[in-house]
Formats: sequence, C-alpha cells, structure tokens
Amino acid sequence: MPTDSLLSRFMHLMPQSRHVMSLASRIAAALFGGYAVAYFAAAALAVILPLVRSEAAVTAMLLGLLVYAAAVMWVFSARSAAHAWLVLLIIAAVCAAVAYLPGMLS
Amino acid sequence: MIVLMLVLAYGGMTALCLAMNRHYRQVRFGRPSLQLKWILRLTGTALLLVALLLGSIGWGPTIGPVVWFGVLSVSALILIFMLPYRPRLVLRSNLAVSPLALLASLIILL
Amino acid sequence: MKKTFSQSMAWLHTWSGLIFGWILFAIFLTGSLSVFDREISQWMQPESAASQVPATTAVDRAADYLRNNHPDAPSWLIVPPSDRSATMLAYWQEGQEFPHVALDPATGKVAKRDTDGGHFFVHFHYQLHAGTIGTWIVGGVGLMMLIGLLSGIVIHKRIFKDFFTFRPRAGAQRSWLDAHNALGVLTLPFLLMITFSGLAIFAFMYLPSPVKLLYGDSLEDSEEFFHEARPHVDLEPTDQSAALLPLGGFVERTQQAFGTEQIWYISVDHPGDENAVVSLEPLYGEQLTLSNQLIQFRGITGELLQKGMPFQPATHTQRVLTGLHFAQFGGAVTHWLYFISGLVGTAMIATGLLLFSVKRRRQIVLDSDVSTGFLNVVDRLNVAAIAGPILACLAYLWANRLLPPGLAERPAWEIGAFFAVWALSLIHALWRPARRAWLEQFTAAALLSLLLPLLNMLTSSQHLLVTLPAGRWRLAAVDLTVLALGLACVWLLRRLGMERQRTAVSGSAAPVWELADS
Repeated sequence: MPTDSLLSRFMHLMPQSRHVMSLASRIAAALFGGYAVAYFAAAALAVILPLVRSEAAVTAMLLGLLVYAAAVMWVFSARSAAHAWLVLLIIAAVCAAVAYLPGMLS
Repeated sequence: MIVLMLVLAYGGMTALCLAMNRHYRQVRFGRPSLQLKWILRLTGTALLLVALLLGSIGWGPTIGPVVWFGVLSVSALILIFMLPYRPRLVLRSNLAVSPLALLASLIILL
Repeated sequence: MKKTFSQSMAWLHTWSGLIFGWILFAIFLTGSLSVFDREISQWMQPESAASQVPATTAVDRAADYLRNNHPDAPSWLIVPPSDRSATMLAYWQEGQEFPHVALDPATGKVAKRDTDGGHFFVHFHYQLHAGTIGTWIVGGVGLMMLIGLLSGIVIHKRIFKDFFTFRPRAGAQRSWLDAHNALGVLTLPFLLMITFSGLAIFAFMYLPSPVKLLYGDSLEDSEEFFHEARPHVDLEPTDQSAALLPLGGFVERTQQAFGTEQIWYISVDHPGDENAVVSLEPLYGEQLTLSNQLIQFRGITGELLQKGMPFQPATHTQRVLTGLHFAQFGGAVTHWLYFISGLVGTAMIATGLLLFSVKRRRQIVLDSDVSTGFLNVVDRLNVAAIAGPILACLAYLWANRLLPPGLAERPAWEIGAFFAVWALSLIHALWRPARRAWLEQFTAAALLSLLLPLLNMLTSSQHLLVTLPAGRWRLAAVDLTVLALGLACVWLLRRLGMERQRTAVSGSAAPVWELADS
C-alpha cells in the first residue's frame, strides 16, 4: 500500500513536472529565441533596406524592438514549446543568412 | 488655454459617453433616441476637434497634438470617476461651463 | 499554450504583469517624478534656491571648478541654471562614467547641501542604480511592459464599449478590473509612446547587430555610426596644451544664434588641449526633436565649427521619440500632463497587481486547488512593490532634510535611505499579515507626506509660508504635491477602515482584499 500510494503520488507529479519543463522551455524560447530573432532580423533589415547606411541601421533597430515584442507574444500562443523553438530558430537562421551571407560570399 | 481645452474635452467626452445607452441611464431615465445619439456623437467629436485646434494654436502643430492627447486622458478620467459617484454633477457641470468655453474658444479662433 | 490566441494572451498578460509589475511600479513612479527632476533638485537644495546668476557667469564658475578639480578629464559637461533650477550640474568623464556634482552658481562651489536631487529618480528609472546591467534589466522590463500593453489590448475586446465604464460597487474583482481597464485604456496612447520611446533611446545598446554589421565591431566603428546619424565635429587631441576661452562667451553666442535664453547644456571635449571642442544645445521648448540645434566651436580660437543639424527621416524619428520621452518641450502644462499620465500608468500597474490576488482569492473560495501559500507571498510582495517605492521616495526627501548639510558623501547617504526604507518595507510586509502591512505602510506614507512640509519649515527657509506668498510656484508645488499624496493616503486608509466596519457589522467573512474595494 505505501509503495502504491507513493507510486501514485509520483505519477501524479509527472504531468505536473512535464508542464513545468514545457513552461520553462517556452520562457527560454521567448527570452533567448525571441532575442535571436530580433537580433538577426534587425541585421537582415539593415542589409535589405534601401537607405543610407545610418538610416538603415536606425530603422532596423527600431523595428527590431517590435519584432522582439511580437516574437514573445507569438511564443506564448504557439502550439508547443518545441514548435516555438523550431520556428524561432528557423526564422533566426534565415535572417542571419540574409544578413551575413552576402558579406561572406563577396 | 489649457483650462479651455480641458473643459471642451470634458464636454466632448461627456457627449460621446451619453450617446451610449448604459451611461445615458446613469444620468437620466430611459434611453436616448437615435436622433439624440447622433447629435451627441457629433457634438462630442466637434468639441474634441475644437480642443485640438486650440492646442495647435497654443503650442504649434507638433506639440499641440501631444498636449491634446494628455488633455483627452485627464478629462476622460475625471468623467469616469465622477459618473458613478456624482452622476448629476456631470450634467450640471457641463451645462454650466461648456457654453462659456465654446464662446471663449470661438473668440480665440476668430 | 491555451486554446485560443486571446486565452494565451490573457495568461501571458496575467503572469508577466505580476512578475514584471513588481518592478514596473517603481520604474513608472520614479519616471513620473523625473518629469520634475529640476524642481525636486531645487527643493532639495533650499540654500541655493535664491541665487540668480545669469547662465554666462554661472558657466564660467562651473568651468573654474572643473579646471581646479578635474583638469585632465577627457570631457566636461555643464548644465547651467535655468528658470527651473537655480543650481547647476558639472559632469566630468572618468573612463566610460560621468560623475557629477551640483554647484551653487553664486559661489561656484559645491552646493551647500550636496545631493543628487531629482536626478536620482531619472537615473533610477532607467538604471535602477545598477549601471549598465540596470539599463539591460529596465530594457527587458520595458519590453514586457510593451507586451503587457499589446496583450492587454488583445484580451480587452470591448475597449470602445467599456470605454467609460467604472462600476465601484459591483464587487471587488469587477471594480478593480474596471479601474485597471479605465486607467490603461484612457492613457493608452501615452503608455505606448512612453514605453516604446524609452526602449528606442537605448535601441543602439539593446540591438547592436545593424551597426556591427554595417560599420564594424569596435568602439570607433560605433562612433562612426553616431557621426553619420547625427553629424557633429570631433577633433583628435593634439597633446599641445592651450588655454580655453571663457565658456560664458559661447553661451552668449548660442543665445544669439538661436534667439533663446535657455541653454540645455554646454560640453567641452579635451578641455586643456589645442583641439578643444565646445558644443552647446539650447533647451527645446518649442519642438519635439532633440539635438538638431547642436552648435559647436573651437574652444581655443572660438571659430564656429557647426551650427544646426538636419536629420534624415529615420534618425529624425528616433530623435522625436527621444524628445517625446524626455518631455523638455511645452513648459509647465506638458510637464503636468506627463506627470499625471505617468501616475495614472503607475496606478494602472498597481491595480493590475491587486487584481491578480483579488481574482485568485475568489477562486480559493470556489476551488481549493489554488494555493493559499503562494497568494500570501504575492500579497506581501505587492505591499513591498507598491507601498515600498512610495515610502522610499518619501524617505529620500526626508533624508535630504535630516542629514547634516556638510556630511561627507551626502548623496550616497540619501540614496542609502531610499534603498534602506524600501528594504524595511519588504521585511515589514513579510513579517506582518498582508492586511496589517497595507494599513501600516500607508499610514506611514500618509504621515511622512503630511509632515514633510512641516519638516521643511523647520529645516529650511524655502517652505510654503515663504514660497506661496512670493508666488514661487515651482518650489511650492513640490510641497503641495507631497501634501496631496498624503491626503490621498488618508482617503485610502479611511476607505479601508469604513469597509472593515461595514463587514464587521454585517458579520460576513469577506476576503480582506474585497475591503480594498473603493
């Protein structure tokens, strides 16, 4: 009986702790994944925007802040933490490629 | 100028507010007729626009709107916190000062 | 996360609001006080309040002070006295830091009552007194504020329908929610503007990737960026020492150039060098954009290097945002509107924090799954996060009057009082039952604010009996605002007391938070 109740208690805790883990992962995705997206999106914008470079830099920084806010909000409405991570990392990678590949190739 | 703007915005906000059934009931019995609602809405918008005009005259076209936004917030807050506690006073205070403020602003605008 | 987007946003709004609201309250409170930084500084230095020295003379005296005390600093910056402040500030560079002192323009010496004044509130609201790390923390918290506003808009749904709705007698949860919504919706344009512009000021620091990519990683590269964005003259020091012209002359030339009396600041790069550069900006009373009227001279010859600075659109936008946040324009009317809007935002954050526990206390009654232990912690932290900063700001002003004027390291003691009282508020809140803690801390706040004008009468010659008859409104307003705060605290306490009596009579065991229902 005691083992049983212990086991059932443990079983009861399991989904709880999985829930906590998924939440922690989501918060980390919002914080770090969101920042990565904002950072690389700003870099990509700075390259793409057809402006004088100081103007492109300022515009990209201001828009980057909004990207960060949008990313955090999206992370908390995404299907799952893993899904949120995946999408954020893909966007960050694409932005990074747009921003840095031209410089590397030439 | 700022007092004038506050009074006008307060009047405008009150008019817009009373155009809603729920708030009309707070001040008078019954519900406003459709006609009255439109009159209130138009008056309210007009008063707010006059306040914006005054702000632009007083502080210029860039700072004026900033001041106007502040005035809108303050006047609406006063209205919101007066409505549940002193609903009668809302109507009376408006009837007392709004015509004067309108007259004064007309003089300024012309 | 949750079933619908709006449910997810409700979850995010609730939890991020709770966690970040604890620090946002202090940031918004001190930020609102920052609007009147100079008036507060003036109040905190009553001995210098009467001196009236023209900016030209004052600046020369400040330069003398800097020359005697910090001759080798790479740069100086002086904020001359204005109609808002009789004292002046002298900054000098030490590495990346800019320490400063307040000087009495009449003597050119450190003002008798050395203090950081209202400046402390300015610094605290973007650095939390923690340097660069603090700026990053405030940046993160500010971003969460922006997200809180946006998610708040998403979950409200009936913004226009409920625009004028406030139902104080509809039960605690309903009326707190109404108040939270009303305060937030009515100042929404202000709140969005102040939050985003606050982030925009430090955008370069938070998101350095565009500059790193387009210019490079080094310090010189970012200087090059600033140079292109905001054209100004920079000269390399030659190591040939030379005598700087009197700074007062530059002030005069700037006043003539822009037809304005008020100078915002005057700065000198490499002050003792042949290539010294003097830069000035007038106070922007009639425009939003900051820094587009920079004027620069050679410090040794007085030759005009540059006047005015047309910005390109994006930079202009960033400078307008900065200007909107700094609120230097428009005079007393805009200052008061900013102050009130800021306090409304502060109150909106406070109602949000209270709403969290009010709502969950109700759920406890309905559903035993909600943890009481956690809510007790939330309630106590709410006391420390709301009453705490109010008490700390009051303690800062009290310390200014009680500490002896000649005390060494005086500003540090005053700031110490601010943090010590905040810590005491936290300890007290953890120790006492939450309801008692609210009552006692608001009683303390009421006493501190109602007695402050009296203390001012005992310790200075610039109190209400002097400033009111003389029509010195800027100084009197500080005392009067503190008095108003005291009356607000008394009103709050009376309501708490009245509600307690009512429930005592009816004998209902309503949760204590319902008592805070106003």
